[in-house]
Amino acid sequence: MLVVDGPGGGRIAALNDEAEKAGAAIGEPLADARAKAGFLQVRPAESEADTAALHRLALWATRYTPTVAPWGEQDGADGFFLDITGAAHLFGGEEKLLGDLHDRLSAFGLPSRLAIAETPGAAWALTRFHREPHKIIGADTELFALSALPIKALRLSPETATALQRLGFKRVGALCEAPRAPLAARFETELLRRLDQALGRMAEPLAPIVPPPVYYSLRYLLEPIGAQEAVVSVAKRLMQDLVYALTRDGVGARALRLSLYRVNGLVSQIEIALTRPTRDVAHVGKLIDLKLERLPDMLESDFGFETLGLAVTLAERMEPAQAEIAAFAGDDDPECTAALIDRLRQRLGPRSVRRLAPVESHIPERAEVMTAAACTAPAWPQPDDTQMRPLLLLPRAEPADVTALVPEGPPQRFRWRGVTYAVSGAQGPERIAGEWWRTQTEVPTRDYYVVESDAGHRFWIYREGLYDRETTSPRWFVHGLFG
Amino acid sequence: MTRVTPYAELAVTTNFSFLRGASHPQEMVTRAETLGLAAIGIADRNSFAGVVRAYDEWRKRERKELKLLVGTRLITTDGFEVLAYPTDREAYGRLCQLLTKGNRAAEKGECHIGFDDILAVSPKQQLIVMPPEKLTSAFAERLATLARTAPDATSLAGAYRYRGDEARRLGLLHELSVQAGAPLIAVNDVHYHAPERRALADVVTCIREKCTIMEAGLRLAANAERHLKSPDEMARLFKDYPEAIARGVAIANACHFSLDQLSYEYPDEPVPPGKTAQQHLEDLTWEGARIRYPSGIPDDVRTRLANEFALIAKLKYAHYFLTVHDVVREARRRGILCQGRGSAANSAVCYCLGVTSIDPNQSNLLFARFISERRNEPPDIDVDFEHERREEVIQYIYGRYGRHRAAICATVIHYRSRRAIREVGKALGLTPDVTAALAKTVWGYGDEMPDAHIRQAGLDPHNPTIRQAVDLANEITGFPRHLSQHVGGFVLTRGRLDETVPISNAAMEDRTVIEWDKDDIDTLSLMKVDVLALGMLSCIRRGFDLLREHYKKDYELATLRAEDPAVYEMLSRADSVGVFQVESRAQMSMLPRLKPHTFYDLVIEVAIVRPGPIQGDMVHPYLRRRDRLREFGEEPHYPSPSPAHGKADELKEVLKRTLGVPLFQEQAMQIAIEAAKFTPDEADGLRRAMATFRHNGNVHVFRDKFITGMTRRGYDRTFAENCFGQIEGFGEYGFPESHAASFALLVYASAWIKCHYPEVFCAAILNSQPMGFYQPAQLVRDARQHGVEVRPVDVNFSDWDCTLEQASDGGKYPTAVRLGFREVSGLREEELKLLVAARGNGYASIERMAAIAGVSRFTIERLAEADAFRSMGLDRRAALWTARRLDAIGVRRTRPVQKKTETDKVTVPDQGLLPLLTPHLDDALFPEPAVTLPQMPLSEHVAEDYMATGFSLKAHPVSFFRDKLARMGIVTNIALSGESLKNDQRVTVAGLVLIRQMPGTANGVVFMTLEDETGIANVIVWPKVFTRNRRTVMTSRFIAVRGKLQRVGLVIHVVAEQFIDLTAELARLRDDEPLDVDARPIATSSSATVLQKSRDFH
Repeated sequence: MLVVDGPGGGRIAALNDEAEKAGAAIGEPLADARAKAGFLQVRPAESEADTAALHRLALWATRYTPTVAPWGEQDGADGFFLDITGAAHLFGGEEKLLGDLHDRLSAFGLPSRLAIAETPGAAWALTRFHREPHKIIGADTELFALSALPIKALRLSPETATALQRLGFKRVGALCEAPRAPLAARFETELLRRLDQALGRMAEPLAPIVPPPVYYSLRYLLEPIGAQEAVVSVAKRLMQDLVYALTRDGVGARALRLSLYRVNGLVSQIEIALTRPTRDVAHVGKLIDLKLERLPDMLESDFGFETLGLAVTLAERMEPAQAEIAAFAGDDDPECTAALIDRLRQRLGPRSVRRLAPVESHIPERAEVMTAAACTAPAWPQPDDTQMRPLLLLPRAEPADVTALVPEGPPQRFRWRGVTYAVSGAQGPERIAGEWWRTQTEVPTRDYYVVESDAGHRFWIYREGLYDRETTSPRWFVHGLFG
Repeated sequence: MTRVTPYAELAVTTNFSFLRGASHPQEMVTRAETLGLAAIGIADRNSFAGVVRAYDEWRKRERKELKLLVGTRLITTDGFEVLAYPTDREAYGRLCQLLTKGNRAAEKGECHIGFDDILAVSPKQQLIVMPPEKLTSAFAERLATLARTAPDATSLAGAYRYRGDEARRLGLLHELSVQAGAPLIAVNDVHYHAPERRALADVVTCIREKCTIMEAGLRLAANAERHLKSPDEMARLFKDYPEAIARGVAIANACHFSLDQLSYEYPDEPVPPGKTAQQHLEDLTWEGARIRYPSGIPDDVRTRLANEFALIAKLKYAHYFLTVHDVVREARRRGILCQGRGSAANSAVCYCLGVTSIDPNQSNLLFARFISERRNEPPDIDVDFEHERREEVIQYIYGRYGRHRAAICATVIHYRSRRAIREVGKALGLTPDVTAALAKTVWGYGDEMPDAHIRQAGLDPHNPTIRQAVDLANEITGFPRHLSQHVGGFVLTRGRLDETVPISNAAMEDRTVIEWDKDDIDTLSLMKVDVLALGMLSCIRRGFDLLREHYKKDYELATLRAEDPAVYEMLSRADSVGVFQVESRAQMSMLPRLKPHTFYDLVIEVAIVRPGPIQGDMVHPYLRRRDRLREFGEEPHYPSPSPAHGKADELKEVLKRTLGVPLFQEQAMQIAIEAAKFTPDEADGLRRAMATFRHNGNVHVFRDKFITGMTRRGYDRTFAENCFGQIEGFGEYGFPESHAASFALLVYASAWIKCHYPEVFCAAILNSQPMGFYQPAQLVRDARQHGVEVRPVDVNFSDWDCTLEQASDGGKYPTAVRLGFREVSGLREEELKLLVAARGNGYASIERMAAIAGVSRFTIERLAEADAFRSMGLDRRAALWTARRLDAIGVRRTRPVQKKTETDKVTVPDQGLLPLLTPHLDDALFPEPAVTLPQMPLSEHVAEDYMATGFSLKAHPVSFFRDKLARMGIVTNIALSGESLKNDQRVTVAGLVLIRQMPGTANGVVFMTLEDETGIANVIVWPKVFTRNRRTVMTSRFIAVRGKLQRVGLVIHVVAEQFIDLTAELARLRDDEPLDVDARPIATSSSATVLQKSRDFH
């Protein structure tokens, strides 16, 4: 179940069937649910992620019609309206469209309730409260279809709905029969507005997720495509479809949007801006090709694209005798490093470009880590001049034979990689204890010394294990070299 | 062995620097002694909170080779850190004042101090500057400034931190110290007593920084070196700076302040000039005695008073009694009911002073029994006040003694096991699910978490992270987490309190608290008066007021008719809903067995039904013995020591009152002293160990001593073990006899009112809600069962509080209870008081009421929902319909009310009708088409009543299902006590779940109380049955239970075997026509909101 923070602990925001069976309910404090159900899997609710997911799905739904409006908070924020005016015939009628939508949503693992009506209000009411999961009603039958539904079907605020319940109005029908003036005197305009909207007596404008373009063409493909050339080729055909309308209206495209609908429900969009209006299919094709070149991730997909749409989002008057455009805009990339990284990654594979990033840890070998190179450079902390760190940290500390005067003192001489060094000076110790939370066994503490041999070499060398407190026979290691 | 170098560690941070230190102050002291340090200085961050504990540990030592320095680590808002050690009392006082000033200027938990403040307090302090990581010139300047201001008393601390550059850093510090004239002192900036605490130190860092151990990185210390080190080791680390080692010892020698110098003086306000306190006390007492005994003071009382005076004079307690008297007298003057309790409260002196109302002559309670001469402790009187008016008393005390002399004690909030595992688990990166599962397995307080529990939670105890989390959680359990304010313990002083202890603002407005808690106060023998709140006192005072107003009877706690058989008869029937203390399920099942018929029986009743005696298995022996004594006159047997060791009846003296069963804390101590020959100090130690026994776990030390002490003197070993078992059972719940006696009086008083004036009792207790065990629904129901007429809330008759009205003819009692607006949820008192004030002869219509009284539409709607317009001939639906139109026709005269709830946003500027028009206001003025609203069925009215007020006078919800229930073979609750059902028979009952309880003492047994239209049924669910039916038992609002009927005397239970959850049925109350087209239930909560929730006690 998902939980939001509230006063006095978490409250349940959403739950699955299992949790509901166990007796938990939305809005209930988490502690209560735990008392009832024993063990529950709980994650924090991410309302922003929910909104984003709904947004993605709505974007995907633009494959049916450009006018898609996700539901806002007052609608429950768990669905969307499609304005299918003039779109149903593309799918062979309303029922087929509904069926297709249902099948595709099921394929994404999303159960759905769908309805088609003349008004958004009626369609909303049917999806929520009609007993059939798919319902289509004809024009002017809203009153009949809605009158048996509970008044909540009118998308009323909880306050209004409760007040109506208390007054004995339980069904939409009862409201329709009552004289309007007394109702108007007692309820905010909301009530009659919602009623009129549902019954088609008042228009309800939708707020589409993307402004519907003036020129738009869409192709449903029989087989999903994935290759760059194939995408470009379909895009060119889409542009070709648009040329007639553009020429007819004497305009050209200043900005274009290519929408790539994936089989798995995700949508990728490519925006193309032009310095001057154009109707040149080849030119648009080339721009798309170049754009795709620079966006290799976009084509990385196991699924491929099943539908492509091309929209002219900005059209401008265009003189019929327009010369060929030579230059194009849109590829000035300020981030040279990013470009380099991208290019190297293109050539060598995505995981081959890496850079060092700092990690907050006292343990020297843990203080940095290799990560996949991102565009922004990681922020390194200011070097601490009181704590000496070697220029070269050995990949693994190497054992050394050390002679020390006292068990706790610095080394006098040591032998490492077959060479014996006499120590002429030592600084330290810097005591670093192990990260106790990583292992079950005691991690020995290290005492680091910076030592200088009589030949002037400087080493970073440590003794492992505190004498007496942790061990009686400490071991020595060389861990790094200074210049 | 010759000690080479003496060393004093003066930079010690304990866990009272919350989430920084990782050892208790006591651990620091003990460890310092073991290491052979010359001195230890405790200095927590801007606080003295931990020093008393260190002092308490330190003073236990017989040979005080270790010196304890009390200090604080002053940290300025810009991060300059100085350890300050006062050299004498006066310097300590100035530090306290500085911290007080800093605390009061800041948010709770913070302290704002500036560098100038430090300069200002510097005289006679020893100051040790803690250098920052980066030695800046600004720091050097400040150091020099401080050294100039406090020459010879400023030092610069150097620590060997093992960061690799120690030689260089110490050299730099040394140079700085020479330049500034502040000698170098060697410290180790100790944060824990032993290196093994490093993991815990890391964990508290994570909790403080709100990160996991994996993310903490450089915020953790690199090594485990910040522990107390031996003088030898310190000498070795500082071998280049021997004078830095010597400096610490020199500072320690220069400090002459110790906490025992906080010599305590009582405030002398209450004593008039020219009189001694003792004299004044005696005068006041005699004066009071003449009022208490108008027909002459009995000789017995005279003797008692004389004895008590002698004892008080000897122990110099007069001031204390006078101070308590002063507070109580003021409360009385304001008409606030109060009662004292505590060891000193049950004295004839307190009775005559009016602090208590129990006539010592009748109660047979001996003052000397409660005050041990040898215990050099201030006396203890807690005073309970009416819960709604206690704040007045508190503000009076602040006013009378001043905020510089009076403040509330702190309560140290400790880590308990649940919170410990939750926070430690989070720091170690366990998911909330896992920590919640672990936390859930812990029921008690500070229990160690055994492997079995972990396994029970479905987790592997051998998983290393879980193991670590559990171990660290056990370690942190008992650590102080933060300071909070004590419920009402006031510390009062004669001189300035802020020179004794730092004071800070409490989270509550107008409250100031000190940094020390109750135990610290005890340790230092400061005077404390407990000003507590008790709901029942409000209820009784209201009852007395109503009696005066409606029946012209004037009563006080002390003047109620004593030992009234009718009252005892009522209690013996367990007819005690609402009665103080004896109304719980457990008490109700005890009353018919105990059959109280004297006041002392009530004292025992109050004490016996508590977790301690129940766990110690004292209840049944007591009942057995009493039955035998009553029936056969058989005296209980009291074991004796062997004749060589003492009087045969030494235990009889102690235990006679309770028939040989130790029920009270005092008895436990007396047994320890008499039979096991504890010294009074040891007995006191036992008492303290009992109180904190679960988190200290040192009771076993006393156990051995106790048992050998008794057996050596010839007692039977089993008897000795039983005795101790019983004492142990008290745990922290043990009840002193004096408290029980004070409570018993309130039991008697509330029972007396309930017995003779149930209508008065009903109104009084409803007006004192929330309090007690029952909700208004049950209180109203109980009153009606007793024949009290209860009338619904009505806009034309109700006040804010419940009131009494002339009853209908033929009623059992002369007055009836009119429910007040307070019973309706969501109403605001001020607004309703305006409505009542403007009511005159009553409102004829809602429009008129709205226009005249200026009530908000929100309120009118709430009133309509509560069906409060019946006197206008409107039911709730009609009233709501009218109310909703008020805005549209502009009748409502909205006054600019303070906006509190968002529902108030309908408030618009004054736009009412012309005043001229209002009297003629009529429905006919605003015609509109008629709308027929559907008739609301009675069942829905009942459901709505429950929504608005939590109960209904119209009908009980279950009655609507009776036919159906009868068809299911379910019997009514009242039938359980009838003849037709036999003991052990299988029955099925059903009802609304009022209460679910899982008492810690009952080993997982769940008790449920069901209510139907006929009465209550008590259900017992054994753990096995519970596990199988957990969900139904825990969630149902309406339930049917099948099980075995069990009757013992008047106590009736159903031992559950099967359950049917009927909760969904409740939705039918609202609407008989189901919503058939509702394909999928979008909102499943409708049934959940039908009726109010049960009260669940886990």
